[in-house]
Amino acid sequence: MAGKRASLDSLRQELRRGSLVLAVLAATGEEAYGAVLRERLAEHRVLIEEGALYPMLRRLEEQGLLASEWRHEGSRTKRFYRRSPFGSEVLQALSEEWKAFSESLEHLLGNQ
Amino acid sequence: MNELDRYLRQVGFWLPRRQRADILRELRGVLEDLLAAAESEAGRPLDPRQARAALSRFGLPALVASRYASRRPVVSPALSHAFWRVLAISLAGALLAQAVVLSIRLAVGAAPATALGFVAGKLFVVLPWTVTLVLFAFVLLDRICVHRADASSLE
Repeated sequence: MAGKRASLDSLRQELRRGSLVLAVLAATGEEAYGAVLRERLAEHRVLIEEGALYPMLRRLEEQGLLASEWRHEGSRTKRFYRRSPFGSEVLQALSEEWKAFSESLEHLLGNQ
Repeated sequence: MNELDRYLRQVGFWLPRRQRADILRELRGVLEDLLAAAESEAGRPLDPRQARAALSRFGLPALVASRYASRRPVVSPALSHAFWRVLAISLAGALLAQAVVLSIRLAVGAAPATALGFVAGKLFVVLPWTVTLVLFAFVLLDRICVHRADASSLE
């Protein structure tokens, strides 16, 4: 039973991993630092651990999909992230891909 | 040194040198917020034990750092099945070759203990070399395949 649960958890994580990139790209149209971005995602019921969000933001920036800037917020300096023009292009392409795939999948699941 | 500095130093140990300062700067801000939230929940300043407990909820330092790792695996997943297969065949071949050497030595009248000692000594050299050579061959193959895949994706 524990093995089945572990396997289900691992499949669930695998399923979410790719879609989280899409969610983060969609949420960074307006610039935000990590905690705000996490809240923004949570408002749309997309939950992501802090420990996973920051490395992902950095990876997306390295790929040129996000741009970032250090800025003062209250008494602290925070790193603000925003989608780059290339990120917007990729978001557009990925969301089309997502919609087409999701449509096919829903059709397939509807036949079960 | 407070608990936050200690935790960040532990994370920093595992981070790639090139990005270390930048990642730690960002993590410090995140963890300061986390400690401030824990403090306001507790209603008083955290003692070192409580601060350690709050920080440990963020994750083990080595695991936190590993999430930032962007280094490619030594052998990529696409080739890993072939790698294990070739390694197993090569090791079996090396063992078989030494079994043949052992049989020949015994057939020509060598003392069993001497023949076994000779083959055991050879195996100590042959097996690590087999693993090393197969690994290097696959690392090279992996780089060539990835290079080709990158080149064709740009076309």
